[in-house]
Amino acid sequence: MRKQLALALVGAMTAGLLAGCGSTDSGSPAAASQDTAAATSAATAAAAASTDAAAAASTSASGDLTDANGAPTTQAAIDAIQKRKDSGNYPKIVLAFMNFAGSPAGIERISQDISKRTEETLGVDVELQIMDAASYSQNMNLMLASGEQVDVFNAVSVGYLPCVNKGYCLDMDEDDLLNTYGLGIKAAVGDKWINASRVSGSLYGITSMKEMGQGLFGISVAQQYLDGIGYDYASAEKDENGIIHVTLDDVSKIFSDLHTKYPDKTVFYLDAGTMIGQCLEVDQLGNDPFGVLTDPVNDLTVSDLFSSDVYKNACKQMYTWNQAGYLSQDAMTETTATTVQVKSGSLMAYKTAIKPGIVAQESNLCGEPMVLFQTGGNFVASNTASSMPWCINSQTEDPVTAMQVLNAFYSDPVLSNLICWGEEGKEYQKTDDGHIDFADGVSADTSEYYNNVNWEMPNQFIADIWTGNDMDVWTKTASFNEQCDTTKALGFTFDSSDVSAEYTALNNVYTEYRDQLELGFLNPDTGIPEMEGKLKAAGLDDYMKAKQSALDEWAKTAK
Amino acid sequence: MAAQVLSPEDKLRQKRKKKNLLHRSIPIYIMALPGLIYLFINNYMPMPGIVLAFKNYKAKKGIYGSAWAGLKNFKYLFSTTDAWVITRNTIGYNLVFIIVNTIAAIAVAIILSELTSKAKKFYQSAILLPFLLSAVIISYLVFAFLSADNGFINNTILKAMGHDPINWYAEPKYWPFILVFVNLWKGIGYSCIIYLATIISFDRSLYEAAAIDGATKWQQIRSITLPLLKPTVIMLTLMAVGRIFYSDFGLFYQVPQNSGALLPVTNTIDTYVYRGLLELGDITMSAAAGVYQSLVGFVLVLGANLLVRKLDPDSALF
Amino acid sequence: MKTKSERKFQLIGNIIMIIITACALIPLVLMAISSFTDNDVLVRNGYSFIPEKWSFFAYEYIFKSSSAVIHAYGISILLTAVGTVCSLVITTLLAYALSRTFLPGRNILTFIVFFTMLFNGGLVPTYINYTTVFGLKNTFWSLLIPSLLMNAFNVMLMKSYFMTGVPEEIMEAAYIDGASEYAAFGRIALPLAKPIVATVGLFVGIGYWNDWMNGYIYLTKRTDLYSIQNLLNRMIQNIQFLSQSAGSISNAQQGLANIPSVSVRMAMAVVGVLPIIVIYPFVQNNFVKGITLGGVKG
Repeated sequence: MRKQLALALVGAMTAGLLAGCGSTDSGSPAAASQDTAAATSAATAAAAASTDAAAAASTSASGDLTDANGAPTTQAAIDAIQKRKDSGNYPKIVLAFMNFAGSPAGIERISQDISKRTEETLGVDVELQIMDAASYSQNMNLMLASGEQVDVFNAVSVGYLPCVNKGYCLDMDEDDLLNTYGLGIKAAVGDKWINASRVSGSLYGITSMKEMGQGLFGISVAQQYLDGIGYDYASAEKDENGIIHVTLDDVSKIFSDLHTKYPDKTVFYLDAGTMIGQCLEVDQLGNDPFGVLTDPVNDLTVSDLFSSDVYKNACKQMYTWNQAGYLSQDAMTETTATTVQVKSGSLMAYKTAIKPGIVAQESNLCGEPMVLFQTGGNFVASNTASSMPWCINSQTEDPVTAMQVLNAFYSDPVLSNLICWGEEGKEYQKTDDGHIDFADGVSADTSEYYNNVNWEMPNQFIADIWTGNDMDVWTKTASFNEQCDTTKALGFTFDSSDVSAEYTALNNVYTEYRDQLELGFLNPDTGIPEMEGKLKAAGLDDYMKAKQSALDEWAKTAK
Repeated sequence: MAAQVLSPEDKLRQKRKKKNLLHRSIPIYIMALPGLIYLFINNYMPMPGIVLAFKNYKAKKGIYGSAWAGLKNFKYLFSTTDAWVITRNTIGYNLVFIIVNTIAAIAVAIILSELTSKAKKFYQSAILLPFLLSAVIISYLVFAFLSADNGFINNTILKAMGHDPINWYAEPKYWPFILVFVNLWKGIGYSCIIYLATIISFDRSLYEAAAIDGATKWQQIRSITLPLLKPTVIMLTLMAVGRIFYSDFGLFYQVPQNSGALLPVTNTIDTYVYRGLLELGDITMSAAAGVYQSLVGFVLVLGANLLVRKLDPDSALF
Repeated sequence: MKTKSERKFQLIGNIIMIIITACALIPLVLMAISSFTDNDVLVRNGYSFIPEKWSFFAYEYIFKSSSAVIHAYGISILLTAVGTVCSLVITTLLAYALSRTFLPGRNILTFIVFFTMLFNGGLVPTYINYTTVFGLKNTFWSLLIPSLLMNAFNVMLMKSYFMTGVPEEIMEAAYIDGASEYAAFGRIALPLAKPIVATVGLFVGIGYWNDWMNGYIYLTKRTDLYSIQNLLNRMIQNIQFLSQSAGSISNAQQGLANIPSVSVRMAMAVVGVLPIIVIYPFVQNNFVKGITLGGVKG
C-alpha cells in the first residue's frame, strides 16, 4: 500500500509537471511556427520594402505613399491590409490599457465601433480590455505570463522595465517592423521621442503623445485664500501657460501669510514619494533615486543624490515649513487626493508638476479656481518619455497586424476619438466653438465610457479637444516639450535586475526615511547622514557603480 | 517461546481479518476521494511551479523552459542589513500572537460555554464582527483613534489628561503593543469558536461529578476543561508553527499606513518582499520568498511534531 | 442549584464579556457613523462619533450607481451558499476518512493533506493552472473553486474532532449492530459532529463571503460577477497602488481624486458586514451543549 501510494504521488507530481509544461509551453510550438511565418512574411515585406524603397525614393518628388489618414506608409503595409481584407476573415487584436475606474460599461460597444472602423481601414477586429490601475498591474502580469491573448498594451503600472526583463515586449526593430508598418507612428511621435524609450538600444515600446517634460516644483493655491491674504495674482507676470514663476522664498512668504490668516487649515501638502521626481532637476536614470545625474543637461556622472546640496536644501525647506506648522501632522499617512482635500476645505495649497493646460485641469479637479506657481525649471528626465509606452506582446500571433493596429491609433483621428472620448452622440457631442463636451444628459459619473486617461492614449493630439481647454493646447505642449531642458541621458533606462538584491535593500532603507525627510518631519542635518550610513551599508556604492557603467556603455553607442 | 506454526484456523482468521479490513476500507477511500481529487487539482498540479523561484524567467520560454538561476533569486532576502530585523519581527510577533491569542481564545471560549445569561449569543456575534473587516478598513479605524491631528486618543483622552499630542505613526515604540492588540481584537471572536465547539463536546457528567465533589468553578476548569483541550491546543499551535515565517500583510503594512518611521518594528518578511518587488515586478524573486517561508515552516513543523509525538503521541499531527 | 462560586463566575464572566464586546463594537459603531457623515467633514475633521454634518450620500451613491451593488450582493450570497455546502461535503467526508484509525496508509494521506498547508505553487502557476488548463477564467467557477473549496486546515480540524469527539465505543456499538461504514458515518458520527460542522461551515462561509482575491485575478471581463467585497477591495487596492506609485504614474493624484470617497468606502464595508450579522445568530444554534447519548458508560 505504502509503495503504491508513493508511486501515485510521483505520478501526481509528474502529471502536474507535464500539465504545467503543456500549458505554459503551449505558447512555444505555436510561437515557433509563428516565428517562421513572421520571418517569411517579414522577408517578403523587406524585399518588397527594398524594391519599394527604390520605388518610393523615385516617387518622392511626386509624394510618398500615404494611407487613408494622410500618414506615410509603405507598399508592404498596404499589401498586408489588402490581404487581410481579401481573405474575408478578420483577425482579432486585443488592446489593453488601464484607467482609474475599472472596465467601463460601454466597453463592448466602443470595441465594436472601433472594429467597424478597423475592418474598413485595416481588415482587423479590435477588442478593448480596460482595468483599473491596481488590477491592471496584477492581471496583465498574469495574462502575459500565462500566454493569454493580449496583443497591444500600455506598460504603465505594469512597469516598462519589468516587462522588458521578463521578455513580454516585442522588439519593434526586429524585421524592420516599425519602419515598414509603423511609419504613421514615426511621423506622429518623431525620432527623438521614439529613441527615448529604447532599452539597451532596442526599441520595446512607443511613448504616448503627451507632455514629455514637466515644470518642476509647481505649487497650486486656491484662489480664494490668495484673495484672503491680499496677494495680487491678477497683475503678476505669467508665462504662456498662465503660470507665475517665483522663488521658494516668495512661496515661503505666501505660506506664512496663509498660515496666519487661516490657522485652522493646512497650508501645504506634498504627496509622498514625488519630491525627487517632480521638484528637483536631477535625472534618476530609471525609477530609483540611488545614483542620479545632478547636472543632467551637461554631465553624465552618476553621483549620490542624498549627499548632494540639492537634496539637502529641498529637505531643509520642507523641514522649515513643517516646523512652522504649514503641513498637517498626518501628512505621512495621507492617502486622500490633494484636490479632494482642497474641495473639502481642509487644504489650501499643494505641490504639482506643471504642464500646458494645468491651470484649467487643477481648477476643474478642485472645483474652484486655482493659481499656479512654479519655482523650478522645465525639465525632461530620461524616464518621462518611457513611463507609459505602448508595447506589443512578444508572444502575439501576428506582429505585423499588431503593429498596424498600433500605427492606426497614432494616425487616425477617428480611432483616436473613439478610444479617448467614446462614441460621438452617445458619450460626447461637438460644441459650437469647436470643442467637445458631454452629450446631453451625460456626466462624468453616468457616462458609459469616460476613462479620463488620455495622456495614456496613443495620440490624444489628433483627437478632439474637450471644452475648457485651449484649442491649441497640443501645439503649446509640443513646443513645451521641445523647449524643456533635456537630460543628456535621454534614451537610457537603468536595468537593475543584476543588482536587484542591493536594490531591495536600498529601497527598504529609503522607505524608512523618505517621508520623514521629504515631508519635513525629521531634521535633515541628522536624518540625512543617518540614512546615508544605512544606504552605504546596504550597497549604495556598488549600485551606483553598476548604474555608471551601464550609462557609460550606453553613451558609447548612443547617437 | 518456540516459534509458532500457524494452524490452518489461524491462517484463515488472518485472511478473513485482511479481507474484512479491505472491505471496510474501500468505502472510506471512496469518501476521501472527492477531497483528494480537489487537493490534486488545486494544490498539487500547480506545485511544480515552485521551480519558478530557481529560474531566470523569460516569457517566451515559459516557466519550465527558462534557464536555471540557482539561488540567485534568494540573494535579496539575506544580503540586506535588514535581514535580521525582518526575521526577528516576523518570528517575534508570531510567537507573541500564538501565546496571547491562544490564552485569550481559551478564556473567552470557557466563559462563553459556561455563561447562562441570554446575552451570550449577542456577545458571541459581536466579538466575531471585527474579523469580517478587511485590513484596510481596520487601518482606517485605527487611524481614527491614532491620527495626529484628529485622532480620538490625541483629541480626547490625552487632552483630558493634559498630555501633549503624540504623533503615533512616527513613534515606533508603541507599535508592538498596538499591533498585538489589533491582532487580538480582530481574531478573538474567530479563534474562540474552535475552542468553544470543542468544549461543547466534553462529557457533561464529568463536570457534574466534580461539582458534587465540591470543586469550585475554577477548579473544574483547571482539572477538566484545560486538560481535555490539550490536543486541540497542540494541534492549532503546531499548525501555527508551520506558518511562523508568514505574517498578516494587512496588519503589518496597512494598519501602520505604510509609515516609514515605523519600519523597524513593522517590517516583516512579507512586507519587505512587497516593498522591494513593487517596482521590480520580479515574479521569480517573490516566488523565492514564498519557497523560503514555506521551507522554514516545514522544517519547524516537522521538528515540533516529532517533539510532540515523543511527549504525547495522540496529539501529534501525523 | 447555583453555588456561590457559580454565581461569582457568572458575574465576572459577564463583566469580562461586556468589556470585550464593547471593545469590539465601538470601532464598528464609528465605522457606521462615518458612513453617514458628510464626506467633506470627514476629510476636514477626521472620524468622529458626533459628526458635524450627516449625509446619506454614501448609501445613495452605492445603491444608485446602478444595480451593480445589489447585483454584487446577489453574487456574494449565491457564492457563499453554494460554496459552503460543497465545501462542507467534501471536507467532512475527507476528514472522517482520515479519522478512521484502521485505514491503511492513513498517515501518508494525512501528510499529503497537511503538506498543502506548507507548500504552495505560487500565484502565477496556480493562475496558469486554472486559466490555461481548466479554462475557468471569467466564469462563476473561478470564484468557487480556487483555494476556497477545501483547505487542509479545516480538514485537520474536523479530523481531530472526529477522533476525539466521537467516542470509539459508540462507533463500535454501531458496527456490532451491523451498520455499514456509510451508515456509521451518516447516522452516528455526523450528528455528533454538529458543532464542528457548524464551525467549519462558518469559517468556510466567511471565507467565501470575504474573498475578493479570486474575483480580482480571474474576472477581467465579467463585471457582472463581482462580489461585494470584490467591489470594495478593487477600490481600495487602487487607492493603495496609486498613492504608492505616485512617483511612477504621473497622474496618480487625478486617479485618486476619482475614487469614491472615504464615506463611500465605509458604507461599502458596512454593507459587506451586514448579512453576516443577520445570519450568524442562526448558525449559533448549533453551539449548544452536546447531548450525551445514554447507555454509554464514561
